[in-house]
Amino acid sequence: MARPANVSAQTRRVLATLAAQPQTWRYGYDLSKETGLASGTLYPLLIRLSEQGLLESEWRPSQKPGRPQRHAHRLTGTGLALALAQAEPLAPPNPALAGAGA
Amino acid sequence: MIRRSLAERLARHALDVMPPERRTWARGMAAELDHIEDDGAALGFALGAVWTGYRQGAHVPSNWLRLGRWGVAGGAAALGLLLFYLSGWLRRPPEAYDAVAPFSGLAVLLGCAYLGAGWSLAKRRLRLFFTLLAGMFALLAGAVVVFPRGVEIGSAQAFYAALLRQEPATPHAFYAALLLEEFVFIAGLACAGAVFWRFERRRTPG
Repeated sequence: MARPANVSAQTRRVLATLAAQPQTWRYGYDLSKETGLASGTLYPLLIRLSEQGLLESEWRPSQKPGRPQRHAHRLTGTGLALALAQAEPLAPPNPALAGAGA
Repeated sequence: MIRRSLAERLARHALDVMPPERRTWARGMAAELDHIEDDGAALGFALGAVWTGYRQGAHVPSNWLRLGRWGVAGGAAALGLLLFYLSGWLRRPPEAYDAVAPFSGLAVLLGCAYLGAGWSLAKRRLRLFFTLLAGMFALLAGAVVVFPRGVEIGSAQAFYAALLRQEPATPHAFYAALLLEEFVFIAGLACAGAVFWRFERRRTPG
């Protein structure tokens, strides 16, 4: 499958991280640590994915008592499909052409 | 403790500047701060929240925009009047500016363009504003092509030294200073115009 031109490496990284546990609600700070993206890079991506219908978000109670609710995110069905498509390796080069340039 | 406090302030600022339709995201980022143990990490996260707010096309009150636009427009008009003054149209400028004579036509043209740019910005005619800036840039670039020897930082410094000593400057030095200053001013106006362009477009329905 051809890779859409507008999916950056950072977006692919976020999609891959979310797709690793598609049913689990993930939090921004944890995503930031896992992807290695700063919050100023991560959140604009999350906002864009959400506005494209690829990400769903909701407020969830904190697992630690006395802490406020957290904004959690996970991929929608469409988002997961895109993430899986992005995870596919690129098609190998045509063997007939591979040796031509050597 | 100071870093934590600063992080919380930044998160509140991020909430203020985030466009209303995306404010949930700023609240989400602020909520994350309570789950980040390290103060330094919290501060970094909060800085990212502010950056995100501005990247989303920060919500700027319309009166701020108007004030800023009129301020920059006034600055552009003042630059135009300054160039008229330097070219001797209004009154005799300091002695260092006697060197303006060979370039008075250029200074008057730029002065008119600055006045036009100020007017167009005040009237929110941003296309005209950028067209005028492009014209000014082309005029200066043309001057550089025609007379490249004048474009030297050292010559500009000589002009400012003469100005401080209240001595006459050479036309060469004046020309270098004029080009240097105008390129800087035009770049500044272009940046300001780009900011207004972005916010004005966000306010335009559809």
